[in-house]
Amino acid sequence: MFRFAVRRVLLAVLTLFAISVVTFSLFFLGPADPASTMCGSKLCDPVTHARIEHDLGMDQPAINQYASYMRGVFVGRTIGSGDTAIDCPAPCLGVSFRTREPVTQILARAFPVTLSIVTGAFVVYLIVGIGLGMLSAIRRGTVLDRVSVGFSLSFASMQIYFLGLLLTYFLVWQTGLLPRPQYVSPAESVGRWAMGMLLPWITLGLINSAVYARLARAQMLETLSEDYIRTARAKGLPIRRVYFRHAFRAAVTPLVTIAGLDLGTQLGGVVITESTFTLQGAGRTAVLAIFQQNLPIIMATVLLAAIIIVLMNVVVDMLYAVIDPRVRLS
Amino acid sequence: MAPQTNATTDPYLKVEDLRVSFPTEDGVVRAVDGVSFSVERGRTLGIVGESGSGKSVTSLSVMGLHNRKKTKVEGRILLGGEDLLSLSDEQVRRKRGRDMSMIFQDPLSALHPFYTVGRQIVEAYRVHHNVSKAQARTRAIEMLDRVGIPKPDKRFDQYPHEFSGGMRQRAMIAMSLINDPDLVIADEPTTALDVTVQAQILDLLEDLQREFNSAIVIITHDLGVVSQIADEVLVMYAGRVAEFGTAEQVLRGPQHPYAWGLLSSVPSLHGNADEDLLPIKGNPPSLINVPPGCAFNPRCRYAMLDPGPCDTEVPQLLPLALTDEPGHKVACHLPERQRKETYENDIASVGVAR
Repeated sequence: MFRFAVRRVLLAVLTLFAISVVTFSLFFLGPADPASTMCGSKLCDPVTHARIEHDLGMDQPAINQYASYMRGVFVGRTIGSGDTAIDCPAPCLGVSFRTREPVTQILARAFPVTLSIVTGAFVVYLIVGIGLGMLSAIRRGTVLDRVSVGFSLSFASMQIYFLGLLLTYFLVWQTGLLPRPQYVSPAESVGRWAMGMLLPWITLGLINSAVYARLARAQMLETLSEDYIRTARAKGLPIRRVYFRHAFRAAVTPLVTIAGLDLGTQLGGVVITESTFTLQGAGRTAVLAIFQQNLPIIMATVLLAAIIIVLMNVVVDMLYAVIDPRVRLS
Repeated sequence: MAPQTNATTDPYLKVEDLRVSFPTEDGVVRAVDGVSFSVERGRTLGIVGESGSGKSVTSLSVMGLHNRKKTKVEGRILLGGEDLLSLSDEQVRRKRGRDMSMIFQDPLSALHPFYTVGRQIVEAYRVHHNVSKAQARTRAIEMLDRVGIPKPDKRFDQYPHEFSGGMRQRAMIAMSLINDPDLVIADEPTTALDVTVQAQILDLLEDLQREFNSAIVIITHDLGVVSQIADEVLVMYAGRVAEFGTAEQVLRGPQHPYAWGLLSSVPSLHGNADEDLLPIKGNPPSLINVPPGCAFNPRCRYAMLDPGPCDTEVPQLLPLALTDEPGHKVACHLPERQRKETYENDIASVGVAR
């Protein structure tokens, strides 16, 4: 188990290194011309252009650029020279081409928003989705099952912005039950944080619930037809124990993988949800950066997403080994 | 219901005119159609037949493991004098594992992959006994030891995938016998095992039966298994009983052409295996659309057709008249004399029947 964990982590580090190289090459060596953007494309004279390029270190060979970027990540660095020099402590992900604000600060502002939306929605769809799916499988063919399948179908085919705006209209504008979605740091007020996040949680939660309900139902139905479930019943176990101790444990295992990877992907940014509720999360920040060719921010958001996904992969693998004893041996 | 005083002399399991059917999209499946048999404590009944002959459905109905909502079960299943079909789900559940237990075909898929073998056995014990975990553990290790698993205290904490096939089936047997049930149903208990292990498992079952004095129903398509372990044999075809008798009667002097077929399709170690091996042609009928008359008539080499009765009248299960074989019954229209001749001339000289 320990060796399994070490191997898995080493592999993750290697993956991250590869991702950083690839992203770096894609964005920094691509055709984008951030210097022009920064000095105002039409008014820019060649001297200023060159100075900006020099400040950004873009006149250096690619390998040096990558090295100084990585040095910044681990030990920090100073960007630019003279009066415009910006001190960027580790982990330095560069500075915004537009505002000259260190990217780390921008992310520190945007990421908690995404984290709040995603974790809350995660809890909603794990409970509602998996609960509904399991129940639906146990009560297969009943009214409850049909209602649940209907729910899955309609919500899975709904778009986040559609449901989000619909809910906003009814819950915020019509009835005033909820405040407009906004991000308040939970450090400031947990209550206002939760109230502000409730709408995104419900929206993203419900839509994902639909998908998870379907997955959970299918998984549970498959598990219920397994021989070991028949054995459990043959032992004379109460049916509830058969469902929860024997069937649920086995049915939920594959869902752990899917949920873990989903969580990883979403933590990298939930653009549509963030945009629907005008919340400045990691996803929206990334999209804005792409429009503005703001390379350091793009690079940082991509790296962040990659780190989270790789990390979640490791977590899922470990969890799997904990849940399924057969994985531990191999 | 039988008076309680007769319970000791009555067979422990008595199935009377069992009919099991369930609707499907293609029509009603008559999986079991009027089957009766009984097993006493300390005796073993072998139920033989091809896949789809209704033998597994019979056992699942006895255990109450069929889908109650979809399946229609008629007749009577008397366990210790009590009709299981008249009991509630909960009452039957309390009997499952305690009074009657089951051993399944593939012990790998029949054990939960995520729980240790010991834990699964302990669970089986604690459902029916109000004891501490430690006591249940001691009892489970005792059982593992009894079924011949070496180092049972160590094996207790291992997972099914860490056991070999034979050991898994031993563990499964330990689990089904831990509550000392009076009836054990073994559904093809050796089919998934190596041939060398099969004999060991059957020996173990026989040993345990002597010790626990339980009634055993063993379901199999393997006549070798039947000859080794069964006292009585019930041959099933298309949900009906084709032949019934002691193992000696059915294996030495089978009366039904289907039983002949089963016997001829077992390869023999003597003579020419290719010539001796005579498979039964065709497939078992669909249980949605059972052939009229004797269900075996389309595959029967000796069937009496136009003018009947094999394809018009369902043969009754009747005792033999000419031979003095008490209890030997067969459901076949062929005259007994002709059956006897045919068997002696065509069948007895072939394959294992020799």
